[in-house]
Amino acid sequence: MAASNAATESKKAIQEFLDNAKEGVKNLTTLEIKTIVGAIEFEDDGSLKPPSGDLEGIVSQVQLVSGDITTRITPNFGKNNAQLMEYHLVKENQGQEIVRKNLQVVKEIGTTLVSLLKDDDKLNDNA
Amino acid sequence: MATSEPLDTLLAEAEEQVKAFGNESAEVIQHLRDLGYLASLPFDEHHRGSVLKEALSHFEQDFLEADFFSQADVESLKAMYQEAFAEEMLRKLMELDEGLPIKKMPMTGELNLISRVIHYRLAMYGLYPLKASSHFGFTSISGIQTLKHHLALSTPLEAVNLLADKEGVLKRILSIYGNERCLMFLHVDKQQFKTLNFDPKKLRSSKDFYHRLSHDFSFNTRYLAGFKKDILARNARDIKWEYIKGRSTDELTNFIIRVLQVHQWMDGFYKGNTDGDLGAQSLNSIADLMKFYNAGSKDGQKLKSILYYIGDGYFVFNALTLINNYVIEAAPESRDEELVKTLTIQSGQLAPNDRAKFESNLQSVLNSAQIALNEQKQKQKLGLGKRIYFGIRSFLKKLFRIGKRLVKMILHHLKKIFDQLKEFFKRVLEYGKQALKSFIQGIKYIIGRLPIITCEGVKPAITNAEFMGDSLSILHQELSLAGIEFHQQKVKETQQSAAFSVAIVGEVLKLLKFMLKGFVGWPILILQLAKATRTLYQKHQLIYQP
Repeated sequence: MAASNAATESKKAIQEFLDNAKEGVKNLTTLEIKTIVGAIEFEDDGSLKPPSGDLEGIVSQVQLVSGDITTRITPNFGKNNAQLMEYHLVKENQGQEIVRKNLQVVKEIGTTLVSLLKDDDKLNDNA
Repeated sequence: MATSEPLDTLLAEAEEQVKAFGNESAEVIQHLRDLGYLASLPFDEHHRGSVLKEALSHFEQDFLEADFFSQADVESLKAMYQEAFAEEMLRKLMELDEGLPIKKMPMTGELNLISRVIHYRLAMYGLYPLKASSHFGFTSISGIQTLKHHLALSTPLEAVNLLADKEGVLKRILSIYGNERCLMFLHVDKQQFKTLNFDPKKLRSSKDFYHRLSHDFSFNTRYLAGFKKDILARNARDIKWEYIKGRSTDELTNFIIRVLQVHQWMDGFYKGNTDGDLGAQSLNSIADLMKFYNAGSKDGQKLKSILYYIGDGYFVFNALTLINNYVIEAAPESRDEELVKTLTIQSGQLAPNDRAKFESNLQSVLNSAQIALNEQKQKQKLGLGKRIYFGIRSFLKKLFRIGKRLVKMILHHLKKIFDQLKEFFKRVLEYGKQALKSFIQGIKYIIGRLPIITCEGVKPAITNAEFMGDSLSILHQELSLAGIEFHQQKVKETQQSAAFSVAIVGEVLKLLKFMLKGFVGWPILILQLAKATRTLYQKHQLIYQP
């Protein structure tokens, strides 16, 4: 009984992983990189305190198909710290590189998992 | 990606498993002591952390100067292992079956990581009596000359590198000296007989011993006849005692025994000092090894077919079977994966009751191994611990030899092999910690829960990097240029190491077919993780190719 539950859980985990991967890939037309700065602090339990002052930020949306990049920026972002802009641009480039690499990983893992599920269904059909 | 409930459960279980490993590694302490970066003295409890950190940092500095890897490789290895980089390189460097090759010999008077490693390797084979941290000098050269002589090698570099391939050393011995040198004569003081885990009187069957001998020396009937007459003679007066005494103390015999002791020590069967003295402890380890190989097997070799008690404390040991076993174990890499598959499939095919018993037995060995490892760590801290071997490769190779029988052995003969399995699992646990941590990081990255947090004083920077490239960074507004650069570097390193971790998850997922059948035992999963980490370590250049 315990073994059967474990099998169901494992199968559910695989199916959910595949569903998530499909959803992720389907939505993968836009890459979003956000950088936010402010007077941020931690609570004692390690969570973030609500910011005490204004937040400044920059958001880049990279259209992966057309290659268009839209950037929105608050007026004072990076005003006193030019390195913040540099940081954001690096993250933007890294994001595109990560998508390329990780898609390959998703493809490999996904192919393995789909074949495992198919094999399992076949075995169950024959049982 | 959104979170997944079963993956959450797996993550929670994996995090529980990693807690059981504890924080300090007995292995790191031992290796640092062996290389002379840490004194062989008890730790001062108050300064333990800082003393270890300083020793590890000294090692890392020397490692970077020693040119074992190219700069690009070092960068990718650092990204892969992050804070465990120095520990991993230490582990790799101390391997005696696939150790890192040394590219250049040190100059006389030098003291650096290469001289320390050479001294360590020589000392393991009984060829260097001083501390590893001694300057490279006359004693070092003398040890290398003896080694070159024993193994008939032409260059010092060839000799010191062969020491990092223990199967290679045995193959070399076999090719130079042939089978005859694999017959070892040894003397055990009769006072020590009571410590033997077998009865020497039961090893007086010249028939059994000769039967095996005639199989191994079938090509040399003259030698066989001489051996039977001079060594296996019924009447003690006809035995060539002078020859036996001479052979039991000659330098080459001591060296070959030492090589066998290193093999047995690395397998967890030999618990004494590796001293070239084939006494009671060595004979006990041979008996244990035979028991291990024979458990669950109908056609195993009996001890009396390879060990014969001549009399007056003298034994003759036919090491050929053992040596051939070791040489066979120098098997292709793919066997590791086959072993894990075999274990998983076979245990998955057991009837439900048997499977429950198998898992419970395996878990009990694993628990014992953890307790033994914790005790070992305590002793290491006090400077009392005996040196133990931590390599995973030897473990997997040994298991492969008995892989097909292992499930049945664990199920039906656990008592007989409990101590040996416990030794094996101690190694898995030491190596498995890093593997399990990478696995957890991989799962977190996939389900979008891998925050990277750095702090400059009380000014934090947090980035949540997602598997599909999106990222959210929240930075304190007063973070300095150096603080931003540090955070950026940390994000880059974490994302690179996450690629390695995801690859580990991928390797482990290959076993999900068996998990689907309801077999999700952690011992097997940890074994698989250890294997996957090693496989991926070997492929690290492929993983980090731009």
